[in-house]
Amino acid sequence: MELACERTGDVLVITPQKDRIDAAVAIKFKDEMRALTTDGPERIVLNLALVGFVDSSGLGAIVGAMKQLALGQQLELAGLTPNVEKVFRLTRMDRVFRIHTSVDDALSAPLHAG
Amino acid sequence: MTVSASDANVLYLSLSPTPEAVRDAHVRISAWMETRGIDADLRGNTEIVLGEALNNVVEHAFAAWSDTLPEPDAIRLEMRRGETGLSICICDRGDEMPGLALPEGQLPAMSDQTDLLPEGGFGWFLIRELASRLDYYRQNGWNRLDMVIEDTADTAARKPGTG
Repeated sequence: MELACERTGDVLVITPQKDRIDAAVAIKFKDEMRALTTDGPERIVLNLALVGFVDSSGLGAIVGAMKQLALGQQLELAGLTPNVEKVFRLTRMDRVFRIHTSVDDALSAPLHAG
Repeated sequence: MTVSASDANVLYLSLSPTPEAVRDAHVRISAWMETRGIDADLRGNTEIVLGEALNNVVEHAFAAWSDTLPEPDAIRLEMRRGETGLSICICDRGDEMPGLALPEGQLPAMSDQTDLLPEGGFGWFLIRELASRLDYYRQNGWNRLDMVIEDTADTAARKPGTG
């Protein structure tokens, strides 16, 4: 699946270009996230603004993408669309990730939640 | 995948048990709901529930069928728009549910440690959170799952003649 990647200062912003992160692409997504984040900066923001649907496999792959980061790296989320936000909320995963309204908000936020 | 639509309030689909066919089905179902003006929240809930239910059929009921795939109509779906929401029936010719019962669908245990966070096991939890009147039985080599996705919006306010 296509993941657009942009480095802004010390932050790597990764933006999936597809509407769905589901069972059909979950493993590929996780593998591509590993390739993009290995040797990357401390802060990585996954921008989900273009993603209208995440199923439980896609959710698992996003959690997996965080678990495979190096020590000291952190994965934050931005731009959750309503249905994606609902899946994170219902599964309590919204408490695990730092979630920003948009990439702009993520970039203006300090490194660690205060 | 085949589609028939003799009644505007009912959608019938039949599909083979592959991730690609499931994805095509989702596109059709979403378009069907949208053209009928179904509330965005109800559409979203239905997409989540159907995503999980159809994935489960493909990944579990047909897990041992890889040699004989794809069966063109091994999964049949009927979706009916009613007064209070959407009634959905999914039938499949795959293997039966373990114990002939639906999974409990408890939320996997959370952890403070990133390494121990769950990466799966959310599917039936999401179905049970968003669907009601779940019913499963097995008959003549078919699984049948019935459920209702309730319209949680204020339906009374949108009905003609009540405002």
